[in-house]
Amino acid sequence: MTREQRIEGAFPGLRTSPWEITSPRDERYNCVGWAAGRSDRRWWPSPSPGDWPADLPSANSVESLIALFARLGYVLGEPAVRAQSGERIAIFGHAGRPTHVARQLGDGRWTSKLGAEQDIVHELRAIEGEVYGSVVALLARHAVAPLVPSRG
Amino acid sequence: MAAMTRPVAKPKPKPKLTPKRVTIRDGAAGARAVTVQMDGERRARHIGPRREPQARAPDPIQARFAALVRAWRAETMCMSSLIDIAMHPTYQQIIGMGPPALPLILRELGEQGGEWFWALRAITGEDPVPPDAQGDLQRMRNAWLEWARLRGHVA
Repeated sequence: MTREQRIEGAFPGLRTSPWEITSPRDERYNCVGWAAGRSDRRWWPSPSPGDWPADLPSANSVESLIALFARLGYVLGEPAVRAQSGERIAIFGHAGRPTHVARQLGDGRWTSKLGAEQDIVHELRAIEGEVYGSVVALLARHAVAPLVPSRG
Repeated sequence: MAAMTRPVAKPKPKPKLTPKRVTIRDGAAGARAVTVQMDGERRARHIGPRREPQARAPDPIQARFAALVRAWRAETMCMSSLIDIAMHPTYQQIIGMGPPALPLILRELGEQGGEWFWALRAITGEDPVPPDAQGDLQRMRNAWLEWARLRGHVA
């Protein structure tokens, strides 16, 4: 089984929409680090040392992720309007828990780091499903803010 | 008149058979056929199964660990949530194996990488990662491997 087949097995929506792998496998960063512009950090809201900046809410919740991206200048809502002049972040979740974060590229496509696996470029809804659930929040920012939140 | 007695035939001495050729053929499913050829006469016997050299039984702890790691990696491959990764039932079973799993986890961390820090902290009750290295996967891994080396868990 090729890596593409394994990925499409996890995300069947990719079978019917354009997507591509854009990086080698790298476990040093995850989707949150990648969406925040860091390819050397894997972040996830948790009380475990190193997993999350210590001065942010550490509950495993969408709100904790929103707090991280708010620090980077993102705000909730009006994504269609904001996307014309800025950058967008999508938070995925299911059963009330966050599962994934994707970042929109300048050409309108989305980039996701899949766990410890590769980065892919894809259509936003193509990775909805059993693994990541669905998009539960969209955030946008107009101007680029500093990308480095404080670490825990 | 003397009773006629039939001469008793003396039993022929059995010819001493000397095997001329012995062929041993291993067949399917461990069967072994032995063919002995003696003075033009062939006799075949099946004597199986053949004896294999005693294979070492796999260490049940290593075998269980390997199976759990395989399942964990496959089922969390694309997961982003470090909590979901650590709370996965296979990962929890590895933690539940306790100290016997420690050298196996450390070897896996050194050779394959992976999110083993929750398990290592849970089993040892320690965290050798300096505060400024927390979150940096390479430095976290190095700190744990150095901790293991100092305690003789890995070579």
